[in-house]
Amino acid sequence: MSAPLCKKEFYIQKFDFEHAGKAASDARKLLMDYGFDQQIVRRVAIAAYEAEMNMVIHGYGGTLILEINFEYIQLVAEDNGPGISDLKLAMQEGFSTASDEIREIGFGAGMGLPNIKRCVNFLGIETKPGRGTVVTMRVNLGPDAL
Amino acid sequence: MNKIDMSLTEPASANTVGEVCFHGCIVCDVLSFTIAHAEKGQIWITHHTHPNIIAVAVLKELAAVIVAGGGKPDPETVRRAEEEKIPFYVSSRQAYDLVKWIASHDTHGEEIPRAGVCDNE
Repeated sequence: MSAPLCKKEFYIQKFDFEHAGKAASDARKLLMDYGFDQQIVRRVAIAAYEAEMNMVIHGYGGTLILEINFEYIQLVAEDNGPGISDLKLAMQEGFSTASDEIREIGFGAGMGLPNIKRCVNFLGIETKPGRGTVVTMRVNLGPDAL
Repeated sequence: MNKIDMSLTEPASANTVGEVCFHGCIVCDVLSFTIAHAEKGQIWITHHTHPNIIAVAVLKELAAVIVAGGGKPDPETVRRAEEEKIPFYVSSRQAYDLVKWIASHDTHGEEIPRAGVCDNE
């Protein structure tokens, strides 16, 4: 595989709701500066935002890596969290393990991963209980973009 | 183009405009639901006051955000709205009243303008 045209890492802190969303916002601005199609930018930004929020709420923080390649834009979210014990349930819209406190401020609706799935061409999730989760998301560029 | 003077609201940030151009409205307090279902150019009515509402408004290119029911936004939310140029308002009115008012200005079917900006009149 050839080296990415651009790679940027964002560091996400656990329960940092004050800065939550900044990585997605910065990623969005970077893609706009590159001149990508608005629809592509929107899809990547939504996936980045939901992945970022998952790391803030569930993942004990982590790293979000944005890569621009010739064929696709890739996001990799690596967290330090407890892992997802039932991935099938986690993908189900409406299922969430978020606390009442988190839900009160509008998060934890169980729509994060389903929202990501709707926006990307590829979604890969590697998770092990106690070892964290790595979520890989790709939005295709060119003719086979959604 | 739908246009509404924001007389039922008060400006929450310094970047507000007297009239907002919009296309529909969404009332929602579930952030991921707003992300999934809001459309570009809509006015978003919410009760949340924390900075993340601005992040969501930017992602979805919303025309404006109104905090309904007398909520007081965090200073950081106001700062973020100004930085991201999202017209941001508060209102002591309840969401239902705001929706009725917005709906009375919504004629539908016309081209969606650049979010929140009346640029050709």
